[in-house]
Amino acid sequence: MIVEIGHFALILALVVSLVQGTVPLIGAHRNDAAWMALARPAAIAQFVLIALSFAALTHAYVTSDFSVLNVANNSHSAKPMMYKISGVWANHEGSMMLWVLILATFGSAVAIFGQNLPPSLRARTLAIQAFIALGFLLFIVLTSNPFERIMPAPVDGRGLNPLLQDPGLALHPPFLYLGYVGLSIVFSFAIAALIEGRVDAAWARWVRPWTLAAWIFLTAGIGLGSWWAYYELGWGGWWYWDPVENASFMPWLAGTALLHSSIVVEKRDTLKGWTVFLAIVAFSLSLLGTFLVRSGVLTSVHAFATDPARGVFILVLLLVAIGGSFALFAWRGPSLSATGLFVPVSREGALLLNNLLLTTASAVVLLGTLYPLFLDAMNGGKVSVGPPFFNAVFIPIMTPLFAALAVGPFLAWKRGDLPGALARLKLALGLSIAAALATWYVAADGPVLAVLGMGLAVWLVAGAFVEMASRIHLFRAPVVESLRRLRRIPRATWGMTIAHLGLGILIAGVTGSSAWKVESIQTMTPGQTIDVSGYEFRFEGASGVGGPNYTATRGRFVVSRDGTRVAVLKPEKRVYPVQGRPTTEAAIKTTFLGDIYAVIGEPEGNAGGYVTRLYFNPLVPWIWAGILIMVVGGLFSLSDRRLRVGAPSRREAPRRKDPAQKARA
Amino acid sequence: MIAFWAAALILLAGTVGLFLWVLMRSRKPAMARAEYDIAVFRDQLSEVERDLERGVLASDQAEAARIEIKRRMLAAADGRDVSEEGAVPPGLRGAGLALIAMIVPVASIAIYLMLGSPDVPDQPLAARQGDVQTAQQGEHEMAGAVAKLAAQLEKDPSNAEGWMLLGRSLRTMERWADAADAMLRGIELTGREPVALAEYAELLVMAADGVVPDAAADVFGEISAVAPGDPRIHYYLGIYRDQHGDARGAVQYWVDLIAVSPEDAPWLTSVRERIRATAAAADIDVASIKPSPDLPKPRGPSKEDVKDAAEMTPEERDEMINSMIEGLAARLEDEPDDADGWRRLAQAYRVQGKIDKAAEAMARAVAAEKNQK
Repeated sequence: MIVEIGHFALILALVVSLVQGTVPLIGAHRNDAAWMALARPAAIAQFVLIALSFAALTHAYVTSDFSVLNVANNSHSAKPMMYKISGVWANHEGSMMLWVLILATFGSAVAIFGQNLPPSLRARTLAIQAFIALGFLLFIVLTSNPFERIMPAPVDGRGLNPLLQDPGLALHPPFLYLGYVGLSIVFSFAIAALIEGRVDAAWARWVRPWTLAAWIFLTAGIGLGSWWAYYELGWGGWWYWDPVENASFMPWLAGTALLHSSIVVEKRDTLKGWTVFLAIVAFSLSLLGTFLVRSGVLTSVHAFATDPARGVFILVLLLVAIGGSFALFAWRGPSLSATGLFVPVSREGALLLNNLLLTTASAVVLLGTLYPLFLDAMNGGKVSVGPPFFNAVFIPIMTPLFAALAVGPFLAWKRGDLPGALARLKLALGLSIAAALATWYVAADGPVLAVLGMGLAVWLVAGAFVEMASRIHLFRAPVVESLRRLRRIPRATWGMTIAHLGLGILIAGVTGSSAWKVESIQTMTPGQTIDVSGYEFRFEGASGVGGPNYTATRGRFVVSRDGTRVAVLKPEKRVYPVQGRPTTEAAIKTTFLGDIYAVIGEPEGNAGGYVTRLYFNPLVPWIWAGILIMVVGGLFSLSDRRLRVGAPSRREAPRRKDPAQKARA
Repeated sequence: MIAFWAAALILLAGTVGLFLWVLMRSRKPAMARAEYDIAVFRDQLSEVERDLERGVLASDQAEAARIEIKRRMLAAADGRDVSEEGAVPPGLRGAGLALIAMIVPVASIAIYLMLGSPDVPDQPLAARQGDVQTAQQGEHEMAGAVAKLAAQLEKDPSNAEGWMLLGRSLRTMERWADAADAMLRGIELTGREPVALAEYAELLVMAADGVVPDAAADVFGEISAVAPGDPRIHYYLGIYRDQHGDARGAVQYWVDLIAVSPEDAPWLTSVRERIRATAAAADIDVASIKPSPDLPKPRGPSKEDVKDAAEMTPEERDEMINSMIEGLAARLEDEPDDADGWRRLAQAYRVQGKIDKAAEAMARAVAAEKNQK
């Protein structure tokens, strides 16, 4: 009965979303208070119904109710409880349920916290949100229904892909979806603003925190996914420029641009049309990502053509949402007037440059992701667009972005002082050149790009510190005064500095791990020792171990450096009998300078030998640290609820006093 | 089922009631649009004051900020007096209420009745121990029968038919390697008969997880001379060529396979897909590969043989299951008090779709239970 109640609640939510989409929209058009007011209870009712439905599905997973087809196909009675629960969203139908659940969560959050929004804006925003929900609920109910039953119920399920039986899976999709779907609310705001033909002060005030929240989730979600790929796939890599990864990276790039342009709207009442445009782009890329991942188009364009129901549905949804919103933008966009003026060299100008570079970057990723698909669909044969392409186009776009990034915070709003800003960054520039030269000296035979990467990383980190130092007048005012200023720095400013610092650390990690990774693949017999980047790996053999729903071969390596034992690594190769598929569990010892990483493969020969893959991955932990720091920065900024007003500078050349002071975030 | 509809009605009534209540409640007129903007600007002004107090802003900057905000405030205040009150005309209002009261219940129940299964209860595994046991029993009995057969064959290893049966039974249990071994024993006794050989080679492929090992390729090569019409020969030899980097040779085999297959052969779709994928990956123009000139003429009987061979396995399996069920039924007639036995029999019939017999067996199970008490 619980299953069927969940099914009914889902269908009722579908009908409610239809009401929530139409009635408040008519109400806003006619200015009818009661009809507009319906949006809020409807959004909350929709959330309650979808949550009920999701809970019913989860209940079926937890109790192993194999009369539900979705459970029978994706779960197994012997699976640990944690993976029974995370298994709910580890399949197509369940992940779409998670999608709409998060969509409804954001909708009801606007309904609950949006009291200070003008009623017509709120009604229209929630109505647009309801239309998105309507599209996806129809998709679920008609093509991907998780509540389909089978009679008679099988005695056990088919189990979950062992690769997905991992704590990383429990967290990665929810975070990613919170990010993807979080952009929906900004999209709904943007469409509502276009329908109204105006961007209110309240609109500007609202969009930024929502974008920021979505950005935090998306950053964490991509980071978790990359981390999971790193330790689970066992190739020592953490990013593959794989279309599924690109699908989440494109909205991140656009969302980052949106985050920065929304600051300008909020503080300076300009760049409105551009921000609305970015909001549409960011969510469109989320939808596109969902389409790419969910329609099966990536496995093969032809696989998509043989079972087109799902793919075609999302494609139509995509065309309606993206085409409709861009058409609306072309029609109403020009009416969004701006009041703030600025010159190219100014904080606004710097943020606009950031926007242009980030949108170019996401366009490039889009091209690299879709081009092979188009070519394949036109029967132009298979091409693979991989890391060489992305490195070749990405680095030239990112280099000026990072170079300008450290300068931006030193520019004042409206008109800035570039020579003055650069003068303040002399120290950072010196450090960054020193780092580049040091890199060149230490690794003269390494790739040239490593020199550039390390230079940029130090530039950002040093820039963040210099920025903070000049903000508190460090060494130029008494220490007490500096401390007083430090305490007064608004949290949003902390957030910016911390996030930029995290980016610098991330770049260092990316550079180090791609430039100096050491890899050694061989057959090892027990007692044999292999030297990898100064670490001696002694293989001590492998033995069989059992797990709750798998059996494994566990190898044992003793790693030492200069005769001192550093770590004992126990990588596993697991076989899950239900699916008959193996997974590798890399053993990783993290040190400050890098990861010592070991993987055990197939047995080879008769002497107890095994294929082993041993790596030293320099600076990889810095990637995760950098992402974590960026997320912390975002949280700092989000916790700052004050309204920030950009203080315009009226003087021609703001050199008389301290320019950095005016340049506060 | 009644409980389900009661819950569904509560959800429906709650939703519709909430909507109607919100729509019919009278509201005080909303603030003018401009007021919302002015409220934000007022907040911003007080924020400037706070920043000034904390020393984050210099006084001239604060003044500039204030002037800018006040300018926006004045602009917003211009629109303050514009009355924005409106209402949906009463006719539309009534129609809207009626529509919501009608459409929400009717649409949701109609869609649910199309897609849902209101009369199917939840079946959590904990409540299905009986089924689980029966299934395990079934597997157990199958395994028992197989073990018995194997033991017999150890005693009488010259029984070719027995080895084949064992091989096919092991095949349904997905014990590919064991199945291949048993088949081979039978084949050696019958003098390498092509249909059985093809089955044996296919088992080798399955045991190797879809990879065509050398041994299997040798067997396919052997039978291609005797029974060239078997589609498996071309299919797997093509895969074998592809494994060894000869995509062109692989496609040639599959093109030939299509040429000798009847129009409606069930394997054509997957063969075509393989050709397309392999050709695309190796950058081969499929049109350039023509069927070989010396292909065996499509022979009716040969293909019939093949079809029989393909269908042999499930039939054999059914036969085996049937004999097991008959054995169980016969035993139960002798020991009618074995309630668990009757339950197992009922389950077995249910799986076979023989609902009448299942019901009958179930009734016997209940009766047996009563007798025991």
